[in-house]
Amino acid sequence: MANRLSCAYENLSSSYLLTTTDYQKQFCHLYTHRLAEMTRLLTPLALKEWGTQVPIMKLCELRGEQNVQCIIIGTIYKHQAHKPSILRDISEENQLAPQPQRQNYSEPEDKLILEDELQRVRLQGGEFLESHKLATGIVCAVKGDTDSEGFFNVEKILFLESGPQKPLTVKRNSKLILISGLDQLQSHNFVDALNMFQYWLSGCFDNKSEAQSQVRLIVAGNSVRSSAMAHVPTLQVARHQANANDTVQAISQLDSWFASWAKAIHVDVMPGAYDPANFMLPQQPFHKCMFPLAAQLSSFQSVTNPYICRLDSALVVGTAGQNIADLLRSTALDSSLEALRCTLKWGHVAPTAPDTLACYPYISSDPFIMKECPHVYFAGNCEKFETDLHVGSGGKRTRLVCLPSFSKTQSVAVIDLATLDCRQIKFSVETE
Amino acid sequence: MSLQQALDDCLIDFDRRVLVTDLLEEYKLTYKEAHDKLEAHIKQQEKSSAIKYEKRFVVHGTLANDEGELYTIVQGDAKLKEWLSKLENSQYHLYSVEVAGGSKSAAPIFKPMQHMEVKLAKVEQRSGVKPLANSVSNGVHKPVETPKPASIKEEPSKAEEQKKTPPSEQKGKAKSTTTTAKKGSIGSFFSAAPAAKSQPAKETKAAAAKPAAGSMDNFFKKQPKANSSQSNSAPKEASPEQKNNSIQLFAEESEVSSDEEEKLDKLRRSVIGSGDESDETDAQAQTKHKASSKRRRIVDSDDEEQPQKKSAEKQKPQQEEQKVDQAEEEPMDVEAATNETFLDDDGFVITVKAKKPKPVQKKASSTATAATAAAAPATKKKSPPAAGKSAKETPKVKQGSITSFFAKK
Repeated sequence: MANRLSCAYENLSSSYLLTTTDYQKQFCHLYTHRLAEMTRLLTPLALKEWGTQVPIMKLCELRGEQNVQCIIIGTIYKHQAHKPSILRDISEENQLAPQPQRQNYSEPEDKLILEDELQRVRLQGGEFLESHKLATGIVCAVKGDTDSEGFFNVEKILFLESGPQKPLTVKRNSKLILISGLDQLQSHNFVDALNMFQYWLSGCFDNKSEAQSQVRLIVAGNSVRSSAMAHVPTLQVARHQANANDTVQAISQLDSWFASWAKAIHVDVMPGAYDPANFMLPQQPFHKCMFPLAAQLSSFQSVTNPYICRLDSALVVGTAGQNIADLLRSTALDSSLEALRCTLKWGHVAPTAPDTLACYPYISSDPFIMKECPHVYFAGNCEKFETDLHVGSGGKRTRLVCLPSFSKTQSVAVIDLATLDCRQIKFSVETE
Repeated sequence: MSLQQALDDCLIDFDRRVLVTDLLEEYKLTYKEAHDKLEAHIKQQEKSSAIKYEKRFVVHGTLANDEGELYTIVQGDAKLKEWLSKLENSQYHLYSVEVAGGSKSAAPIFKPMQHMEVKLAKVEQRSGVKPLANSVSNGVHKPVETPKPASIKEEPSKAEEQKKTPPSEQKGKAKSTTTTAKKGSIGSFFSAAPAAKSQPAKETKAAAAKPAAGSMDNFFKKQPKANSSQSNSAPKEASPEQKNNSIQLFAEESEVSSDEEEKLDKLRRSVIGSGDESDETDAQAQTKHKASSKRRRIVDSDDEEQPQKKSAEKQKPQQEEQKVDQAEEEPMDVEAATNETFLDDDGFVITVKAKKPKPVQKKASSTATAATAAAAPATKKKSPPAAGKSAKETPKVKQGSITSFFAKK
């Protein structure tokens, strides 16, 4: 029996652990801190990019002057006619039948507005601005001038691009395995694939040398279920109870799987959108009592969603996919990979939070700002497997990985931490 | 037993679907070993008998167009060949075997793997985490029942037994009762409350300790009625846990206090016989007792209680003999009353304050003082003991100033 390669590990998700649970606060604090923090980070980048000839100004400093070339740093607000609004729902519910929720509420007529600490201004820049790819909550620096109609004509736009990146010094061929959407409640549909996966993980299929180099397995959410629970009328208590029992049994089965896997490899389990965890981002780690067998092993741990860790020198950042799914709803981005790339460029894991994505009302910080550019950036529970090596400014390289749900595609991703190569491994059963 | 032996002895039932992964777990083999032995056995069986086996294979290879690797399960030799040609760098293993054409077998049960060829070098068990087997079923969690210590119920009734037990045991019991009390939410509320409100708890301690020593009645007998009503209400409000704790904590003292009682009884007799001199002897005797009782109190770490206890112990001989000594004490009251009247004549209005201690100390002692106490505001009756003490002290100071004033004159 061979031993697995070990690597240095550091969990950097402490900023996502909630110490207080005060849900009474307003969300304006989060936007305020986001703007303040990202302005601090964007200012030197803007000066480096555009020089000091064009001044960085506040909107209130313009005082209605026209044709003033300047740089403004602010938060984008995208006015969307079809954006879900609880106020509209309430006002219309007595008059009209509820409109079905749109899968995507982005339209070409959407208006972009830039807000700084005090004022707001309409942005226009035509195709250059790519307004259909932007979303509410993005902080950026725009260079341009104002016109007589009160618009700000954007000439150039600058994003944080997730800050600086530390050099990658992983020499050994350490590999990271990513899996999402185990969907234990539906596992009877893919038990063979799951069985193959676990024996592949343990190096039984003549893949011992490869298995030895795999250092960690990250389970990126939706382990219990991968779709919303069917709405059950309140009176159907028995059925509701049956569903609850299913969940308990599924967690118990997952516990035995994780306990088994954790003997072979380090396992990090993130909660997902449909898991029995808190709804708002950041989702807190599963309580250890949920996995009594696996929690006994030091190689198993429940982690937050989003999750940040460092393996040797490689910084790994990932989510269970809620941020990407919400971004795809509010923009015209056509793929999860593009959405993932955009969040990396914008330097924010979940820009649409708290606007259309539930998020804890932080009052003194915004933990979703990416201050250090990751080497591996993934999102779980996507439609299909997609990957790309994104090369940012200054030669920063980031492996982007969109993980599909295992219950749908029976596939996992393996990333070489030294070279940032990524490949998909499928475990399928040919149906006759 | 080895896999080969099991196969030779026909111990493996191929009427149902046999997974190679199950054989790995059962016979602790590598996948290759299990595959080779099983494949050889099946070939032999197919040659020697007409039994046909339905085989499934795991085919592994690289997909074209760089779409990654594939592990797929295919059924039958024909499909196997097809897939082997389709994939690059392909290889295959037996995945499952069953007798072809037999009765439809039940779906295999998949279990988490136990046998692994590559594993972590060191897997540590977390301390303090134990599996909760059978504790959760269908979302219903049964609370763990803790045995109730029998001493809790017995303690109030067996106060005398506790007197005989060593102090160390008593303290241990007290700890156990507090720990068990903390498990319950209500218990924890009451046990936590004394920590914050140490002063009332100590009052109840003092109050609860006395019945064990048999001097509770005596203690309250000498208390002024204004205070006694307040102090009586304190033990009523105290929870049973508090009473138990206080009894246990003071059982040590109560043991000694029985000896004190004997001595005090002797003193009482001598007081009855000797009159005024008894105060001096009392004081001497109490100073001796104070030293020993003080040590005990330090052990009990109730420093704040000492003044109260001291005063209570001081009061014991005096208050026991209240009826006896009433004749002696009354002249002092009369003297204080005369002072008041005298001061009135002199024009000092502070003379009224000299009467204030009376309702606190001896409201029921005399009808004359009761009349003055009725004139005193009702709020002062409800003042806490500490306030009463301060009220006692201030007239003495003023009396001293008055006497010095007259001495000058």
